[in-house]
Amino acid sequence: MKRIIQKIKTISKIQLLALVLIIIGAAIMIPKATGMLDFYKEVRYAAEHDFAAGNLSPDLLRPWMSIRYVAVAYAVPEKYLFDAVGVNPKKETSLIALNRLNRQKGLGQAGGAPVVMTTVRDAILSYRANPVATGLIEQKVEGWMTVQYIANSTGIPAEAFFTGTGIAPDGNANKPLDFLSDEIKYSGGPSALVTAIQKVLDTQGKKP
Amino acid sequence: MSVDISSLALTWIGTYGAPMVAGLLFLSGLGLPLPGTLIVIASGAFIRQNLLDGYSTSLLGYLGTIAGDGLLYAIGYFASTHIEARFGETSAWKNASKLFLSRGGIAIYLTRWLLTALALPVTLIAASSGYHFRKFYLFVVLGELTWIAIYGCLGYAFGSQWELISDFISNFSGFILGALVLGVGIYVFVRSFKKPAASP
Repeated sequence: MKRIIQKIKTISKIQLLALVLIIIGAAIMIPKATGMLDFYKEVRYAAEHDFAAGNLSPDLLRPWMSIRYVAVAYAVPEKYLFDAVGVNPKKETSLIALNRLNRQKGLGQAGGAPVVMTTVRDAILSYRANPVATGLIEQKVEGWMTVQYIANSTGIPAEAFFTGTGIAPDGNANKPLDFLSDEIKYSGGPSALVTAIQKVLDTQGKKP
Repeated sequence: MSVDISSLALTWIGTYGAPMVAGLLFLSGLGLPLPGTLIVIASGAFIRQNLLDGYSTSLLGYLGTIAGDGLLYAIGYFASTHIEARFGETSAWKNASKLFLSRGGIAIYLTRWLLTALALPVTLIAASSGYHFRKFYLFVVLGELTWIAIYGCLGYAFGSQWELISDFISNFSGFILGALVLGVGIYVFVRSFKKPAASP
C-alpha cells in the first residue's frame, strides 16, 4: 500500500491530467458502446420477428416505435391509436416514438417499459376484437400506408384494392405502397400506385 | 406533462415546416444547446413521410446551419481581443493557436458532422486564433453538407423508425468523442515518459 502511495506521489501533473483524460474517455465510451449494442439488438429483434410480415403479436411492441409505425405494422388506424393514447393527432405526433410520447405525457414506467406501451398494446387487442373503420386522418392515400392499413381504416376489403390495381394479394397486403411499388416494379412508380389505390377508394364511394 | 427541448423542436417543425428547421439549425450552429443532429434526422424522416418538402427543407436547413456558424465565427472574432488579452501570452495558448493554424481544417470539418459537441469551442478557437475566415468557411460548408447529407438521408431511410437511428447516432458520436479523449489521454501519458532531447 505504501509503495502505491509513494508511486502516486511521484506522478507528475501532466501524467495525472493524462490519467484523468483516460478515465473520462472510458467513462464516456462505455455507456455509448452499450447504447450502440442496444441498437444492434433492436435491429436483430425486428429482423427475427419479421416486422414487415403483418399480424404481429402486440407483445412485440418496442419503445422506439412511433404511432405511425405501430399503425402500419399492426394495421390499426392511426386515429384509433391516437384516441387510445389520448394524443392530439398532428403531423409530427404520429412520428414520435412511444417512449417520447410517454415522457411528454409524464406517464412513467410500468414493469420496466413506458406506460404508453401498455395502452397501445391494449388498444391493438381491443381493435382486433372490435375493428372500427375510423377513416384516414390524412384524408388521402399516402406511400407509407399498406393495403391492409387502408382497408382496416376505411372498411373497404383489401381484395377490392388488389382487384382494382391488378396486384396479386399474396404477401403484399402488409407492405408499404412505396416499397410494394418498387418490389413489383409497378408501372409509373410509387405515385402511380398511390393514385390507383386512391381511385379504388373514390370509386367505392367512401370518404377516406 | 413534461416536454423536453427535442420534443418542442419536433412540434415546432411539424407546425411551421422548413423555415423552423432553418431557424433551429441556425441557433444550433450558433452554439445554443439544441439537438441539431436529431433535428436533421427527424427532418429526413418527415420528408419521407410527406410532412416536409424535401428541397426547401434541405436548402433552408443547410443555409441556416452555415449562417449560424458564420455568425458564431464573427462573435469569436470580435471577442478575440478579450480572449487574447486574458490568455494570449501563455505558452499553452500560443501552442494551441499554432497547432490550429496548421491543422485546424480537419478539426473544423470533423466537428461539423462527427464530433458536433466540439463545434462551438472549435469555431471560437478558429476565430480568436486568427484562422482565415474563407478557409474556415470552406471547411464549414463541406462539413455541414456532410452532416445534412448523411443524417438527413439516414432519417429518410429509416422513416417512421427514425428515433431508433437517432439514438444510435447520438451514441456513436459520443463514443467517438470518448475515444478521442481517451486517445489524447494515452498520447499525453506515453509522451510524459519520454525524456526531452538534450539541447545541443
